[in-house]
Amino acid sequence: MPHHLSTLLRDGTGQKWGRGSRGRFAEMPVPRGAVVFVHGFRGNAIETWFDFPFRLPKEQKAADYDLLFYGYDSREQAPYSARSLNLFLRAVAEDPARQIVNPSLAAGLQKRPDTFRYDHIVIAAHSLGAVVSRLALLGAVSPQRDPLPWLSKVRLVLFAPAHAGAPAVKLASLVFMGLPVGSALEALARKRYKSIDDLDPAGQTIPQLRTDIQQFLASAPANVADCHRAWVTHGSADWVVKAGQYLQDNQFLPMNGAGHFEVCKPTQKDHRPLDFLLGVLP
Amino acid sequence: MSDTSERLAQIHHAYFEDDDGAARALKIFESWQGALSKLLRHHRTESISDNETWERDSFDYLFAYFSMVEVACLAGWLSGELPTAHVEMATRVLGDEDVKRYYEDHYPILLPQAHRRRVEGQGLESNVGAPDGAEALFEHFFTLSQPIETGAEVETFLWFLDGGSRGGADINDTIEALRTPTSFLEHASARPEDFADETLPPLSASIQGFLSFVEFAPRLLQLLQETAEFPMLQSAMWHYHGYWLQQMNQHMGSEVRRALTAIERWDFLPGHESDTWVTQVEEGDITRAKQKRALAQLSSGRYSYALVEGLLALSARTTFLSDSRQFNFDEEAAPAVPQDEPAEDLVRSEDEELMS
Repeated sequence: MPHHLSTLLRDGTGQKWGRGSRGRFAEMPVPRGAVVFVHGFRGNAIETWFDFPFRLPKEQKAADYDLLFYGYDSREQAPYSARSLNLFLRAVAEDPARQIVNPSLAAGLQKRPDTFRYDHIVIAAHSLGAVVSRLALLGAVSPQRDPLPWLSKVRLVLFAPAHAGAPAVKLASLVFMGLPVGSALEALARKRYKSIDDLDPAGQTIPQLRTDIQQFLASAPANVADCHRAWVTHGSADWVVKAGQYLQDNQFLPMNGAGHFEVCKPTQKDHRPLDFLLGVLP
Repeated sequence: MSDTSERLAQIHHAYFEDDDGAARALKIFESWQGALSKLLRHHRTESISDNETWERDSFDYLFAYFSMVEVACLAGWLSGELPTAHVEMATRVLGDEDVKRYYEDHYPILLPQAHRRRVEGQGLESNVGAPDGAEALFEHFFTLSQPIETGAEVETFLWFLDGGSRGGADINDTIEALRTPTSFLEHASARPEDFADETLPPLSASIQGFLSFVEFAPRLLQLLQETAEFPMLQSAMWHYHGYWLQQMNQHMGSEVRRALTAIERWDFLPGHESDTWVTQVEEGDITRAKQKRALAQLSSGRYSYALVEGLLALSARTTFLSDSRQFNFDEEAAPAVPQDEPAEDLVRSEDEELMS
């Protein structure tokens, strides 16, 4: 098989990346790219994406991609999670062998040379993960505030993105296993899960994100700005986020019948999420 | 390094490095070999102290490692001779009388028994034919099983399910905490870093473990259904989690249903406008029905037989016949034709019952 078994992701000092982040590394010595999966609100590094960890390695097109499932704590504010993801993405782009791959591989497996770099970095994000990913990319700047050159290697693939926001009452209900909540429970959920306020369409984070991306698209070199021209899919049965065109993203792919959580889960019967991602891999 | 060695190294890494539980058990084994009968006693003989539960847990990780290696062998993912170092270690640990009593008598699990036979030269045949499909299914199983196996939260919930207690909390406290959404939120959203000792209180851990467990069940069921082509492998995958699934059937299945039912009662919350929530509520109902159905099917025992029969065929030893009796399920739960997938009308009637 073209990928090793899944393993926890560790940095050069042996510390774990993110929250339960795991990877399936390509067996080939020098793969072309990495797919970084970023889950959504109350999601989980791996479980949000089932069956991607199983079905993607079986695809020839994915054989020379490392699959990195990044985990974070969605109780935290989105900008906080984005900063952590930003550090991870910098390691993926700038020093993957020493900062991710080699410290995570089992003893005895072939290590990558220190000079190894990916040609392509595909970020696949779901729901809140889209906001966290976009913020992380906006934070990839030099000390002079210039976008970092490796952004030109990035493609953004979004499943039911919440970059236009999501109603707090709906997010609060997710905390309570999808059951309806009243205002008191909504307030409790907002207190515990700080990221709910970040997704308020009328709050601070969502409007500012839109403004910042607009400025980025206008000022960054064309090949770098492409990282914010995302490929997007929405499910018709989604009750958490609304489908719609966002800035200069590609027109979204409608996924008929899919709900907010099914849209990022390929199954034996429904390959659409898998085909969508494969279609974007360079 | 051979292909088999490299592959075994990846499984070893998961249980000895990603989570060091198996390494801890091996250290305890090396220090106490021949004197482990007290630590590895049945909990009904003498109650288990909090400290002892952690040491015993590490043995569970070690058994999980041997079990996963056995599943890999049956999938054809590990083929050829296992490395000598592994064979020697497995023979020593799994053949120890105190250890054997723990996994054969006190808490019977079949995969370590099957693996002991394998390292003694009497392994089950994998019978997967062309192995590619089975290998991919094994890789899926490995990924699916890692979070639940290495999660301390799930372990706490399963320990409570087994009748254990920790820090003064048990399964009844877990169900009580699920009864109101406010206590549910308090425990479900608790984080280790919220506490001075950076450890989740056992009750919070149990609630979070319960949630992981019910979300895990439909995925395991789906994978088992996709593995129907390979009955022995399918059964081995079931047995990897089988002890707990069997416990649910024999003792505590009703507790899990009670817990899910406690959550359903939240439907009657003041302040929501029901007409705007119809789709959402229906979706939640379907999810919980799927979870209940998965738990019911997984705990029915229908997936247990192939491995039991394989081991019986391997050896008709009296000791093993006694082991197999531990895996009898009640007549109602076990269908007459265990390897067939349930007929549609059976599934429908289960769903209807669960939805009602």
